Order: sequence, then C-alpha cells, then structure tokens
Amino acid sequence: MKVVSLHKNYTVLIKKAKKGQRRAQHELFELFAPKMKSVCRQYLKSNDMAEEVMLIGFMKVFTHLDSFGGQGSFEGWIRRIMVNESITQLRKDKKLGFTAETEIENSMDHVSYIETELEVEEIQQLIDALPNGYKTVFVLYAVEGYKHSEIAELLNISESTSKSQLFKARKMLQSKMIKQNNSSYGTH
Amino acid sequence: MAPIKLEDNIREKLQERELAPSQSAWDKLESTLPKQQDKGTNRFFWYAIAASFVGLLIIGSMFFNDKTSGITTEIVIEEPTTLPQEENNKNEIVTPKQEEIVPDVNSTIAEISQDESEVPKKTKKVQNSRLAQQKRDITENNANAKSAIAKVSEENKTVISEDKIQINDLFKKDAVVSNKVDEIVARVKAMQEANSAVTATEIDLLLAQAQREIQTERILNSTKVDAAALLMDVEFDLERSFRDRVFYALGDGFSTIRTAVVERNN
Repeated sequence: MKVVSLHKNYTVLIKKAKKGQRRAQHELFELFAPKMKSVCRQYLKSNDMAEEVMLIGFMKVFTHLDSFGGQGSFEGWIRRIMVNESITQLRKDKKLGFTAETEIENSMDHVSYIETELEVEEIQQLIDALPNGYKTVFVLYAVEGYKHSEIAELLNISESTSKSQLFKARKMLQSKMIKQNNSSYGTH
Repeated sequence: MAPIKLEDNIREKLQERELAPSQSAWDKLESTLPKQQDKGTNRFFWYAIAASFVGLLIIGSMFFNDKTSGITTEIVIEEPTTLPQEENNKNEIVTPKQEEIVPDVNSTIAEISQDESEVPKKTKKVQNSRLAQQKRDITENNANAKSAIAKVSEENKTVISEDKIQINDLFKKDAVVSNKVDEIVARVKAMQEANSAVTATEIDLLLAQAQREIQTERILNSTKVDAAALLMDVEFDLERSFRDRVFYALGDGFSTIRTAVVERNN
C-alpha cells in the first residue's frame, strides 16, 4: 500500500517537475538522493565523489525528465542514470580497467556463504578493496541484477570479459572475507 | 544456523542503504539547473494575468454593448416623435417668412408706386437694396435652422423670384393706373366744363368705376393665383394713393372735390 501511494505521489511530482516547478524537483531530490548517493558509492570510493556524481546524475534526471514516459519504475530509471554517471566518472578518471580474460571454471558453483550477516559498512569496505573493473562488474551483476550482455554493452567489453571479471571479483571477495572474519565458508 | 549467501547479503544490504547527501547538495544542484524553469512559472503567471485581463475586457465590452443597445432602443423610440416636430418647425420657419416677405414686398411696391412718377430710377435702387436686405435676413434666419437650410433657401429663392415677377407685373399695372388717373382727370375736367359744379357722388362713381377696371385688368394680367391675394393686400394702399393722385391731378377743383368726399365720409 505504501509503495502504491508513493508511486502516486511520484507521478504528481514528476508532472510538476516536468513543468519546471522547483518545489516538485526538490521533493523528488529529497526522496531519491540518499538511495542514489548509495548507488554511486558502490562504484566510487569516497562519499564526496559519490555525491558529486549523484548531483550530476540528478541534473540529467531533471533536464531529461520528458524522456521518462512514466512506464516502469521511476526509481529504476533514475538508478540507471546514476550507474551510467558513475561509470562515466570512472572512465574519466581512467580508473576503469579490465584485466585480461581468464578461464573460468564452474563459476556458477562459486557461491560464498557466511554465518552471520555482514554490516553494510563491512560490505562497502570489501567492495572498495576490489579493483574497479572487478568491482563494477560485480556490483552491476550481483547488486543491480544486470545480465552479462547488458554489462558488456554498458562497459563496452565482451560478455566473456564480464564473466571473468565477475569470477575474479568473487574469488577476491572470498579471500578477503576469510582474512576479515578469520573464518571462511568455502566453496565446497 | 543456516549459512547466508554472501552475494544475497551484499545485495540486500546495499539496496537498503541510504547515504544522506550534504546539506548544500540541493543548492549545488539548483545552481546547475537551467533557470528557464523559473521563467516557465513566471510565464505561466503572466499568461494568467493576460487571460484575466482579456476576460475583463470581454466582460466590459459585453456590459458596454448592453448599455449602448439600450441607448439605441431609446433613440429608436424617440426618433419618430422628434422628426415630425422638426418637420413642423421647418414648416413654421418657411411659412412665416413667405408671409413676411409678401407684405414687405407689397409695401415697398406701394411706396415705389407712390414715388414712381417722380424718381423711378431711385425707387428701383431702393427696391433692389431692400430686396437684398430681405435676402440677407432670410439667409440669417436660415442659418439658425440648420436642418432646414437647403429647403428653406430654395423655397425663399423661389418666393423671391416669384415676388420679382409680381413686382414687374405691378410696374406694368402702375402704368395702367396712371393712364386711368389721366382718363378720370380728363373726364372730371370735361364734366366741370359741361356742368359748372361736380358733385361728390359723381366723382365717387368715377373713382369706383376706375378702381374696378384697374382690378379686373390686374387680375386678367396676373399669371398666378397668388397675385390675386397679393393685390387684395395692396388694395387699400393703392386705393388711397390712387385717390390722392386723382385729387392732386384735378388741381383747381381739388378743394371742392375734397370737401365733397369728406362730407360723403361723414
């Protein structure tokens, strides 16, 4: 019910924001900025950088609001913009490199298990420790739910590269987890 | 305790996470947003003002039209009542002038006929000057009645022209009258020679006869019906002048004729 009412509020706000009403834009910003900053933070190592990219993303949201047809999730639409902006930022900084492809052996079996839930700060630390290439593919795949084909297109890489990046990212995370918790739940 | 999938844990935690933006974040964003959007709201505001102004104009014009339409209906009601009055006024303006002109002209004719034998050229001049004065008076009066200017002036012109014709006729008739006077004087003298005393009744008879003859001649000579009325007006003056002239022409027998006439009058 809450979701429905929120969605209704969005449509009204979006209409007003489309007309250029500052108040509606501000309300939309207040609603989505914290989540979008979090999205940007997944790819970018500092909060300041995340906020900067988030603001650029919001500027694009408001200037291209007419291209949002109202079909599908508004949050999903903004999120996509934020992801694209984060990747653009990484490219600008020339921090986005992808290691050569490696043979992936049974990648689907590499599923890590943990005994207790990790706090979000711990997770962020783990992710921050990953190289940008690994991290970006891992977040896109594991958190945002992109398919390898989508990731390949978005990052302008091949699907196999995307898969190998994911594989390496998982392996690295696993090893880090073992180090961090001194207890690892391995792999079969 | 069941082990938790690391990736599920990561996804859930990260998707739920919210990082509050700095307080200046919105201000920064607002400064980068195009200012046209403010203008858009302003434009809408101005459109609203313009629309309300147009609305007021329309309402005002409708109200004004209602008022004017009321006035026009009033005019429509008044017009038939006012127009006949104006026409009556015109008629009033025209008719008295015609009447005024006629006696004036007649009186001038009488005066002219009195002095004609002595100084015909002068009287003609005087008559012309009087006619000119009359014309001036008519035009001045006409200026007052603006609506009837054209009609009145035209009618007056025709009247004046008619009067001129009549005056000319009268001049001719005056010649007839003087002939008659000569005739009567000749007869009286003949009677005086035949009979030593001329009675008042004889003279009266002669005068009446002469007068009738003059009148019939005039009526016969007159081209228009109007001339009859004109002659009737002039009759009295003419009669007197005619008598005076007869008395004057008789000369010696003046006193006897005079006393006879006075006796008859008494």
